[in-house]
Amino acid sequence: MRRIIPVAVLLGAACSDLISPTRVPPYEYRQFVSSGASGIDTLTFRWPRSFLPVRIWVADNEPLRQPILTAISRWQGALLFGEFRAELVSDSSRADVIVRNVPAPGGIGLSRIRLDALAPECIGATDIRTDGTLTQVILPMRVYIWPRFSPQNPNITTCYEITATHELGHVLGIISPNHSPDPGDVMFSNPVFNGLSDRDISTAEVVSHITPTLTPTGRR
Amino acid sequence: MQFPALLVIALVIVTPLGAQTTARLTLGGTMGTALASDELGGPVSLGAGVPVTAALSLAHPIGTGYRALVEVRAGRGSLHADNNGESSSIPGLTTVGVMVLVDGPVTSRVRWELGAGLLNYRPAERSGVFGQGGPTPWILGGGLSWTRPLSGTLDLVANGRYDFHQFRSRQLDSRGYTQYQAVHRVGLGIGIERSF
Repeated sequence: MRRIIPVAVLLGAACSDLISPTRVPPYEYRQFVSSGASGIDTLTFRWPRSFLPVRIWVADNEPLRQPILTAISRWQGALLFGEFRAELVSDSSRADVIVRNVPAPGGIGLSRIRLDALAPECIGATDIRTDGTLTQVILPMRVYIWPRFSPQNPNITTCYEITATHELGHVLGIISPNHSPDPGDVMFSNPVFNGLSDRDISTAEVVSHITPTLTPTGRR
Repeated sequence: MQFPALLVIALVIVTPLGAQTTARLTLGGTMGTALASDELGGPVSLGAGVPVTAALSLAHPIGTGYRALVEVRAGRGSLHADNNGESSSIPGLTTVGVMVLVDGPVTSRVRWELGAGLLNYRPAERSGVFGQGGPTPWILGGGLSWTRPLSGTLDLVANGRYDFHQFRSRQLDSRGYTQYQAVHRVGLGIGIERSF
């Protein structure tokens, strides 16, 4: 018996598997669009693995650089199986995502998805261009984050971090314009939570494993 | 490949350690089972790919035919993610293992070896399962070595190794994963063994 117990323990250890956690339900991440006579169409997006790491450009001297790095680190850390990776690139002409510290332009047109964020001290918007058939995302995506009032506002850095994380959530594939209904999530439409909630993470996990209706094109 | 180069230098300059003490250097590869797996709209897993592996060991006789070995084994490769059949590689995973082993004769040219130690995961960047750093689990292993004399003090050696450890990282802990993932690895290496 004394010999059997260690062998049984060793065999048990050699056959063990991780047990997954219980996950909270995700919020809506899809976009629903009217498609004429055929009714409502559902749009979903995630980055194909062959596009990773996603190339993000933000000017060296912009105050958004560190908040974008924080946002990248948060979303990369949230997805444990390498579903999303991003890196900053120095040449905007090679970028999949261009981030600017200026107000978003008006007149987005029919072929763009505009996703806003209205935090207390700053505003964010992500523009995703689609083709006419609503099957392709034409790169680059464009992210705008700018101060609501003065760029010298003492809370502006925190606001940039929150909004950069929010906008990168849209870039990742959370493209519902209705956002999360919970102010405890960074993907709430007027985000105040500086981080990722369990619901943000579980939503990102779901998004990262869907079969998307939109695929990216136009990478340079 | 700085690490193997350092091992070669160490082997060349190592000072005589006493009668029948041997130093062994091998280069090869290691294959392993998944470090973590889950079900997220389908099966997903993360493994260590097939890292290039270098091992340096010192052996000293402890009885008739038996030797005690101290071994440092380092692997450099990439993480391999499989998401519902879609694969991607995440570069920059180093593993460094230190083991104490005992070996003994099977035939005149083949020896068995068995031992235990620690294996340290050193990711290039803190992300994913390594978001809070790499773990250092216990490792158990064993294998066979085959030697063929090249000269009076130098042998050609081929080594096959199986080892096993339980993987779980702080990031997996913080996300609510429980238990451990059993990781089984098989390595093959070829190199030289020098007696002093």
